[in-house]
Order: sequence, then C-alpha cells, then structure tokens
Amino acid sequence: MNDLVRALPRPVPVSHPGRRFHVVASVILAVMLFPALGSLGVPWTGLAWSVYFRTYWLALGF
Amino acid sequence: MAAIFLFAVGFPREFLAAISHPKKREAFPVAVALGILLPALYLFFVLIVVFAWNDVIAWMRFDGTWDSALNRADAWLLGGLTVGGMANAAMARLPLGVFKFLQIVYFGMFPQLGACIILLAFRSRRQEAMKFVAAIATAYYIALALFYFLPATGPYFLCHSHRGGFPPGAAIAQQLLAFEKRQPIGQIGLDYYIAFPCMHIAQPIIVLCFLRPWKRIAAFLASFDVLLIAAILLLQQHYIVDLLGGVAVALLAVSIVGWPERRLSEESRGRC
Repeated sequence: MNDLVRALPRPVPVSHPGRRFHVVASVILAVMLFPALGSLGVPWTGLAWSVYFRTYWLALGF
Repeated sequence: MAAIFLFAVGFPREFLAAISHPKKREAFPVAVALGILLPALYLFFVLIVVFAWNDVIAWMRFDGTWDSALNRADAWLLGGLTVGGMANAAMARLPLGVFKFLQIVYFGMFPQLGACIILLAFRSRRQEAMKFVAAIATAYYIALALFYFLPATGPYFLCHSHRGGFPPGAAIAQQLLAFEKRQPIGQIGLDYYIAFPCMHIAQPIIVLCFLRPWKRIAAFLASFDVLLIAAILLLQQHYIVDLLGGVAVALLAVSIVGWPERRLSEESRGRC
C-alpha cells in the first residue's frame, strides 16, 4: 500500500480562476489607500512606525 | 515559539529526540528561511492595508445602527437571548480572573498564523505558506467589503455594564463615536472595528484547513478554537451571526485560492 502511495505523482497545482484575486485586491487597495487617507485628513505619516512594528508582531505572533 | 510548541504537540518523539541529541551544525536552510520570510512580509503588508482601510470605512460608514440590527438577528437565532445578555450574566457570576484568562486565549489566535507559516514552509517550502497567506488576505478583503455594507463593531459597543475593564473595547467605542461626529483621524492605529464576519474565527479555520494533514496538531488547535469561541462571546467581541459569517468567509477564501495539498511529504507520513 505504501509503495502504491509513493508511486502516486505529487498533485499538480490546479489553476483556480480566483486565485489571483488577493493580488489584484492588494494592489488596488494599496494604490487607493493614500488618496482615501488624504481625503479624511490623515497625513501619510499617520501610518506611524509603531503601527508597522506592532503589526509585524501580530503577523508573526512572536 | 508557537511553531515549536505545535511541533512538540504534533511530533513528541521527534521533538524529544531533537532536544536530547542535537544534530551537528548544518548549512543554513535558505529555501525554508525564504519560505517563511516572504509570506510573512506579504501578510505584514496585507495587515497594514486592512488596518488602514478598516479606519477609512469606519469613518465613512459607522453609525451604530448595524450593531442593533445584528443584536436583533442574534436574539432571533437564540430565541430571545443575546451575546451581551449572556456575557453580562456570566460576568456577574464568574471571577474576574476567568475573563483575564479568556483575554489571553483571545490573543492566542495570532501566534497560530505565524506558526502555520513556519510549519508550511518546512513542509513544502514557499508554495503552501504563500497560499495560506493568500487565503488570509482574501478573507480580510472580503471582510472589508462586507464591513462597508454592514458597518457593525461588536456587542461590546452596546454594553453599558463594565467590570474591571471588561468587556474590553471601551477605547475603541470612544474612537467610533468620534468617527460618527466626523472628527479627523490623526493616526491609523491597530484598532480593529469589523464585527461581521468574525475574522477571529475565520483565520483559525483557515489555519486548520492548511494544517489538517498533521492530525495531532489539527486536533489540538481545534480544541483551542472551542475555547476561543467562548472567549470571543464572553468578551463580547462578536455576535453569533459574525461567527457564522466568519466560517463562511474562511471556506470561501480557501476555495478561491485553492484547497491546500492533502498529501504529506515522505518524511512526515506515518508520524502523526
């Protein structure tokens, strides 16, 4: 049985129509972010460094 | 730390062998390091974008009415009960230490993300780790879109009885009230306002989808997530409908980026 499983080819990545959705959404949201913040009166420095570092802490969970 | 802990849970014999007989110095695993670093950097970027847009949408759309609507939806689902009502009843009976413990459990969700990236990078290099982050990003972007149409923040916003700083969220509620008055935002912070869908349950479900080949780790995380649901509700962070929405968004996001590989590598098969 194990030999049979080993003989099976590794699954070929299947192309999903929406798998690049996050890339497109990331680009659009990032490009639109600064005009949106500007219209609300937030200076670009409003994205403070402390937020970057704390977000990094959240992202990796350290 | 979380990844090491999960490895110890999933592979106790290998973990004990590794700490009892450390291997000789090996070449630095560049591919694995990149498999961790690149997805982590992308997740970092996604979170910055989400935190910023979360403020923008709250400023534009939040008026508190959707919180009442979701609370009514909960009452309809639970036959008259609400999350706030149940949590306040628990707060009157249980010691404060229980809620402090639940707060630790609540924030225990975040290390799961980092641990999942690290474990996936070790298993199949960058591909699966990047797919995992793509699923998290997709779920967050769907959540942002839903927040635009349903700008609600959670039962804590409707709560008027506080005890010892619980439920947490008083400062966030103040910030939202300032948004309602259209006061300018000086700085984007880590305040997170989105109630529906509950990303605090969506993300652990995505983690479970990706780590399910490691059955012991998946079982441990699933048990932790049961506790996490109790923490979410007793700390009044989300409505019941948010949890249902979180499950749906998690499954939708994973199906959009593609279901993770089920087949284990040769080394890890049979160990778990």
